[in-house]
Amino acid sequence: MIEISLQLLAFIAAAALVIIGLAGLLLMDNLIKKIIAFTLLSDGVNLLLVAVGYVQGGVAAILEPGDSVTEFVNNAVLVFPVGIVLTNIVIGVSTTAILVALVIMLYRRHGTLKASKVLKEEKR
Amino acid sequence: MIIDSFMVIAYIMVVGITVGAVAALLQKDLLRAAFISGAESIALAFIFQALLAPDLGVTQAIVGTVLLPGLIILAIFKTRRTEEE
Repeated sequence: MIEISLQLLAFIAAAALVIIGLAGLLLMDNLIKKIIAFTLLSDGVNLLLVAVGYVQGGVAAILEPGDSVTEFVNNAVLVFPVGIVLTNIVIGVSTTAILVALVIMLYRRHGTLKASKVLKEEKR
Repeated sequence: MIIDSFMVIAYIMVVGITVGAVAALLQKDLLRAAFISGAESIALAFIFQALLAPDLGVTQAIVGTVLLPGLIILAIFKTRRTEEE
């Protein structure tokens, strides 16, 4: 059996999420399905960033009273991707809320959730 | 051969993420798709926890399981539940 580290496993999962999310965003015709695919794509990018910052056999980036700072710097996972991803998760929720509001307005105007039909009626 | 139980759970979670993502997109019932995406998010929270980022795990578990499916369910109740042909 091939030995796969946790980091490589996370990279594979991130690649799968990005591919599935991109395919869903391009191929799905339903607008709500497109929103779900968008959140999947965002999850994949978050997972990729966290996996880049992972250190094998390290500790979580939380400094408790009494810990040695030198040991913490040598062993802790990278702090920067974690902070960026924490921001990105929260921003992703607000982006999804705006997308949901836009979809509801499109549905009130056209009476349908199909992206192709909405586009055809908007062009006229 | 010693089987690392932690890695076995990580494998299961990665398979769960992939299968859940595909299943959420292929599901015809949009309400079910929202719940499946929430379940997929829980598996992702476990992977965050395993990658030594516990704050991200907690945030992803709350946001991905309650807020995002809640928003999608709101959109479904304001529009329609099933995919049209």
